[in-house]
Amino acid sequence: MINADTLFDAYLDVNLLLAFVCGLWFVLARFLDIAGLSHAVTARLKMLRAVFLAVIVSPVFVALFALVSQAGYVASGPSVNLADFIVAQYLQGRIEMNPSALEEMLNLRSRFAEAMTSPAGQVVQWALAAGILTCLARLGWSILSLRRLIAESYVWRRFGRVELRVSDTASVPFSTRGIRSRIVVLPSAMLAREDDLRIALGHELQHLRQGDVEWEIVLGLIRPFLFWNPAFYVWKHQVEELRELSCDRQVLSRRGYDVAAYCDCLLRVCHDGLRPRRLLAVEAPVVALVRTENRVFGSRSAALLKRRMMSVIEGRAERHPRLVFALLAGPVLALTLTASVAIQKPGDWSQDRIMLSTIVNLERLAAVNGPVPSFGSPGY
Amino acid sequence: MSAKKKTKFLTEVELEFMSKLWDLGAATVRDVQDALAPARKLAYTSAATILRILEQKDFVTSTKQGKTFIYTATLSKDAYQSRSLKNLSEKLFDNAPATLVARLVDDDDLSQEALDEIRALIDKRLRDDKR
Repeated sequence: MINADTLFDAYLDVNLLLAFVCGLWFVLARFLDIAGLSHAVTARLKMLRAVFLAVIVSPVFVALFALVSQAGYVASGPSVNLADFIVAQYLQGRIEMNPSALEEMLNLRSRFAEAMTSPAGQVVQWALAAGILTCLARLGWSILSLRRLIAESYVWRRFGRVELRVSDTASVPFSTRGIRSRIVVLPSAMLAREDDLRIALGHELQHLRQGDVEWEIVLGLIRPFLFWNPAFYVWKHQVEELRELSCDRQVLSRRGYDVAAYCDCLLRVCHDGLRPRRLLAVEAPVVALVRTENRVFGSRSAALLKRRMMSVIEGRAERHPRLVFALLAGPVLALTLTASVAIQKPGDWSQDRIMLSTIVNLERLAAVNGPVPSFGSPGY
Repeated sequence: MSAKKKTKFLTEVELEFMSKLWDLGAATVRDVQDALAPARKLAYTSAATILRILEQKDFVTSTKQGKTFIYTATLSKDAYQSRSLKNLSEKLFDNAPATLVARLVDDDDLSQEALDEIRALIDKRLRDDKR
């Protein structure tokens, strides 16, 4: 039976792991830039998604790993636990630190769990629950608004499970999906601009092909639970940027649109999106041609548009994205899953932990009794 | 999906199409397309889509003749003008048509002929109301 403490621990682990992989991602991105793979946007996007998936399923992996370890299927060797590793390094003299401070640092997690049971901790828990509920309500509201917007739009064409719709209220083309059908909504004003219509449609269909809408829905559903974690927003921003860069590149290489016409179309749509029409909420599970919302990160949309244009103008072809992904994904995923096991609470007792505890106690005794005399000192 | 709320107003492109349809009376997609400015460069499929959406919005109706559809406006130009002005009066002139007319008459660009025309229209309306 899973109790509340285990769930809370798993929740904390996911948040910590996300922050860790976020840092790891920036190191890896820098490495890829140096290796001349700055244009490998599709491989990067796939890797970001694979690692995110690994973070989300990490509690299941940790539980399975614990089961397998208990059954004796894992060869006994050095512990993969981070706390155990730090203690071992300290005892071998590789870390210079006050033993009490080290023990305090290692017990940080237990102290945090204890603090959560205090009245202040209860307030934090209620605030967290309120935040999650607010985010869920906003998500529900944005889904309802989206449904209303789609209901008020007009069917243009249907092929297979894809439905093309024309809307008077949408200012920017976007794609989304229902339970069975996939929907592309285009602003009705765009019908009069043949070239823009073709480009926007090509772009949105590429999003559907890449499964971007499904990923946006997954991120939208997870967001309420990680709303307070800045790492999640950094991650989402990275995914959004790579998704658009990848989509632009794929559309241009597959369909051979003129780069200048493509950039013009992006600018025109962006301009249209600034008109005071009905805007879709940030939480809405849609993938738009351009983001025009002007909120806290308003300048971000403009910066992203600029980077997209620079990228398509540069027009470097991405070679073998699957191979690059396969080569990089293995080590990164292994590191992520190892980290998920490493950040777990250590076992209550181990030889090293007892040794550290003894050192701390001796330090405390020394502090109480005064300095211990040594050879040659006057008191000896 | 919930029942569609019928739109009462036309978008810019739709208004362009309706204007042509009001001039032509009944027309095919090709007729409307030909009547548009040559600089428009609108594809047949896009023109057909716009007319089909107008039909879904109940602004036009179509009848099939052989393989082609003939489109006819269900709403007269006068009726749409009234609807638009009423909306403008409600939204921008606090539901006071007099303010709207006052603004129009204050316009420096209005010629003497245009003012005479407006006066004649108002006189006619007043005479009609007395009957």
